[in-house]
Amino acid sequence: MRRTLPAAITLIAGLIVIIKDIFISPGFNQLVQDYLVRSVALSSATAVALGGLSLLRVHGRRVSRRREGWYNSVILIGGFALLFFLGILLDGGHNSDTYQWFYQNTAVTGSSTVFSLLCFYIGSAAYRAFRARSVEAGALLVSATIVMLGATSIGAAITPMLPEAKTWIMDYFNTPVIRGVALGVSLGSFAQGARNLFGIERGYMAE
Amino acid sequence: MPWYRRLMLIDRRILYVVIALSVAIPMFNPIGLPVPSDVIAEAAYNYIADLPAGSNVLYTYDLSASGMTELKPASDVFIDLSFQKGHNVFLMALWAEGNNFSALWADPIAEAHDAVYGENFMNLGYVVSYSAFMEQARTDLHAALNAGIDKYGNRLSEFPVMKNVTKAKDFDAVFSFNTGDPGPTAWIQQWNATEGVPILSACTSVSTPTMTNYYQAGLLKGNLGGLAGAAYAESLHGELGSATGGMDSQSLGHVVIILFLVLGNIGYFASKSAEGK
Repeated sequence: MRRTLPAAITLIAGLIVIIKDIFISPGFNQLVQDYLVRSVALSSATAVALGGLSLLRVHGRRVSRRREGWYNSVILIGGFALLFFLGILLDGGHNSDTYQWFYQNTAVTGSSTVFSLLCFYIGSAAYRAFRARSVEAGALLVSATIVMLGATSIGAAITPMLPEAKTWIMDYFNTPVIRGVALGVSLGSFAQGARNLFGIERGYMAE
Repeated sequence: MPWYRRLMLIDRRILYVVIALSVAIPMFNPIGLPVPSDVIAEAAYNYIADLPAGSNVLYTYDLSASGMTELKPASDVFIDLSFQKGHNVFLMALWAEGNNFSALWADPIAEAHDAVYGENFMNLGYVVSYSAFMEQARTDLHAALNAGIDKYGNRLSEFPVMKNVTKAKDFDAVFSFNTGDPGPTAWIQQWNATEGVPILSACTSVSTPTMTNYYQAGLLKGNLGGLAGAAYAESLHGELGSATGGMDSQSLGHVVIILFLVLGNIGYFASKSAEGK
């Protein structure tokens, strides 16, 4: 029963959503919208709440046991609690000016700072790793240089050929490869969906 | 240590300082380099500019703070363009962080155009389950939006502009400012493939090849790729902003990284040559 019931629910729910788009019936469609689709939204909202509780549990344990870096967890719990209670207690909730001030000056600035550090790490990693050790590495180095220059204003200022060369590399090498990857991922997703639907894949049952 | 070894082993702190200076100096002293043209960004700009007055355009903030530098200029240009053209502007977010940015970035522009909330401007808020929202909104937009309330907790039925949009097909375009998934891929799969709603995008540089694929396949009407796309949109709009200024910093940053690549490779080939002797 532990396996059969979730598999049966998955199969029936999946088939209903598929059938809904094949045999169009306004009444049936409304039924699916009112109960099935809305239940997805409710379960997602519940998952977000559970995620918050899980976060507090993991970091609370780290603080109580004084594990390495426990003080980072104190900051995380403090930030979580601050924004949570401000969002609930303030007039206007998360739209209030006070909430926005805290949010902009903690979460937003922190996130932007971490992202901007990528510039330094990528620069350093490229300098250390990008060596023309083989023909393939040399081709990668040359094409990367053309794309980096062609994508910026300075490339066009040096010669109009650089942006054109960059577009050629992107259109005839980069984009087709991305297209191939996207097709592979789509076929993989389709196969994964079918495996879930027919109960072959049971990872979601925590097996 | 021989000179070529030194070229290969430059201290990373020196590299960090040079990169920081190359990015920071143009911010305070802009060079004014020309912005390269971008066909796909131009397609996006022209598509929105050609929509007639009264069109319903949904701008969706599917982003986190990490994409702020690249996506805020794009948002500024297109929200301003839509108000100039007399469109009904709808905002929403598929990402929780985007919910804050939608109001923060668009509200000052709406105010500058004397837009009236509920008459030609609405913020539909954040939806927690995007796939369920998109599926339900195909037939009942109001019910799909957090049981019929806007970002500020007001009932959607109270606002006259919401009478224009009751289902997905009522939107003349959906424009996603995005830093990842859910973003244009979800909109294409759920609203373009099933309802034929035109989708446009402004993405971070790293997502540009994926969006170019969608554009070439006709699934996107246009895309602004990273800071360069946003800077070109600013030049089309005739109002140079932070993207145009940022292009100088980006240009010098790229040049510095390329210079270090060249130095490292000169050292590498010189060391090979010396070892060969």
